[in-house]
Amino acid sequence: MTASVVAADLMHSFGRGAAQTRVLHRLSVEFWPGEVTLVMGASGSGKSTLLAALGGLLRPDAGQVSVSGTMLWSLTARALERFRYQHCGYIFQGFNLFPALTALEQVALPLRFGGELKARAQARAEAALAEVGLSACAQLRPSELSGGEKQRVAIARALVTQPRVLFADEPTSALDSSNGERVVALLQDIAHLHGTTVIVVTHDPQLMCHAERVLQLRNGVIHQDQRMAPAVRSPLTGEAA
Amino acid sequence: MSLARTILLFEWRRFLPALLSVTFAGVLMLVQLGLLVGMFGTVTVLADSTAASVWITAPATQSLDQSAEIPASLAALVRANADITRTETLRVRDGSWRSASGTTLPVTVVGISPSASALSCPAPLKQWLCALLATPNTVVVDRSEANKLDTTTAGMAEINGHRVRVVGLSQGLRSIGTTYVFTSQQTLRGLLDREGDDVGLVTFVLAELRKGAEPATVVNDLLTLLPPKTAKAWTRVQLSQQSQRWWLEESGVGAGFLFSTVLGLLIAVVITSQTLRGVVLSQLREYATFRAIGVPAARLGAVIVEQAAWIGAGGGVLMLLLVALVAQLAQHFYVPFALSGLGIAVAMAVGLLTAVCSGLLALRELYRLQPAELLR
Repeated sequence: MTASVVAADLMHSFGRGAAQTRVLHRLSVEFWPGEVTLVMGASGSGKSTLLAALGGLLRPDAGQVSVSGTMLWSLTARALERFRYQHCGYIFQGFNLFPALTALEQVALPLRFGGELKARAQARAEAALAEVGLSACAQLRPSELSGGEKQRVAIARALVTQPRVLFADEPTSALDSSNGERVVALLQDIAHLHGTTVIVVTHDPQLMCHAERVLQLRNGVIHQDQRMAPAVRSPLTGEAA
Repeated sequence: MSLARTILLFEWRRFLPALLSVTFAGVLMLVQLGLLVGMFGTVTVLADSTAASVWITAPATQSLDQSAEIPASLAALVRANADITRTETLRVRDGSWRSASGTTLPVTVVGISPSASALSCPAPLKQWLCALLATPNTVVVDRSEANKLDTTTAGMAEINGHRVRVVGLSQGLRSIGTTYVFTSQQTLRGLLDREGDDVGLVTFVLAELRKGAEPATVVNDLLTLLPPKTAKAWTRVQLSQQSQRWWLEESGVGAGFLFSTVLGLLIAVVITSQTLRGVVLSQLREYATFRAIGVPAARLGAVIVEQAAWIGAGGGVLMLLLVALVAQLAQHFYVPFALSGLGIAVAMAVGLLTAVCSGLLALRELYRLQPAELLR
């Protein structure tokens, strides 16, 4: 199988002169479709910077990132935006939902911004909400949803453009453990069902049972690259048995 | 419904200060403009309310209320123009009013021809008051000045020590520059001191044109006909506009109006842009998420500019309602207040522009935004 995301010799530092801190140090790594990879490590180990560089959000000082064969950091700013829109999905720690919009409107919004007709955007948003099990909440606003539901709306919003790669930054840190596990199990289902490459930055070791692979980062380099044994999960709840 | 309007309606409380600031900046501008135009419009009420299309004044006249006297014989000279069907003279002199209870006030006595069909009879007196002035020693004053003059219909008073009787009250002949008292030319002669009175002099010669004649063309012809050191010809509109311009420039009110309007608009821009900026900042993470997804900043900016435009439009409507209310109040209290459609359209456009500029200022936050910051 061909790697969908390939990072080669990534280098990145913050600050200047004596205050310069190296965050990524000649880091090379590959990710495959249909897999959930957890990127773990202590604070400051460089995992969020790695995710930003892989996701086309932060230009590294050196090195390249290839997503589905496209060299991200060789693209112009506008082409990179277009590439992100067509191929990448993002899930953040905060759910970042507009308080004024219903779940259905939140999910349809990326498509509407992309120029999709309203009816078609709505149909695709409904399908995405169904996939995360929130059809019944389509007309609810964020204030009427639980934390777990909000994150699932955010996942549906990331899914609706049918990305090849899904980047998630601490997607469970604002959730209780059962909701957190459910969210990661959902991400794993998405990876398996659509062949999506899912890269998740997390602190939470409980999520390891829902990942195919765990990378441990330390001081900007991959300290450990661990393949996980497949877990037996309930197909209905998504929880590990 | 668009994202902009959905957010605007759902979070209207957040946007309210911006809406109100646009509204009040517009109201400030329009009320000032209305009062200014209304006030200075009254300076030329004498010209504006008569039927004469062409006015002859002393040559150095800058404003209607400051015209020196000219020979009455000019009326005959003016009639030589083929487009002029009839002429009339109008005499305006300062006088001293003393009411029955002793209130004294300087006034401007306007001597007109006491007939409803007279060129010098102002429109508000046409119905019956002009004819009443044919009775010697009678005068008409404006209803809005009656309190100041301490008189009413059938009231007795003195002008320059001569007894006069108020035969009626007019409406709409108030002037900011002076207090007009209307009388017949015959009565006016009686009110003037013999020494200071020269029957051969008048203040204005008024001319009526034949149907279809162009006042500007006639005025041009008259300018070559009249001795330039003795008299000057104007169309009614020219004289009115020149007088208002003179008052605007001389009084300094025009500069004051401009200053306070610009100040009001600046305050509106600051409040509106700060309000919009606050709303953008509160939703920066949501906008950043869409920047991460690859939505161009310009598309997200369009949402904010659309919100700003709606605020401008909403503020404009609210402004109109408030200004209509102010206009009603002004009418009720006889305060001169006048607004043209153009003035209102300009105020609406300025309000909209203010809001959109504020929206564009608020966009700075959006363009400064780095989606990678969501990952820290």
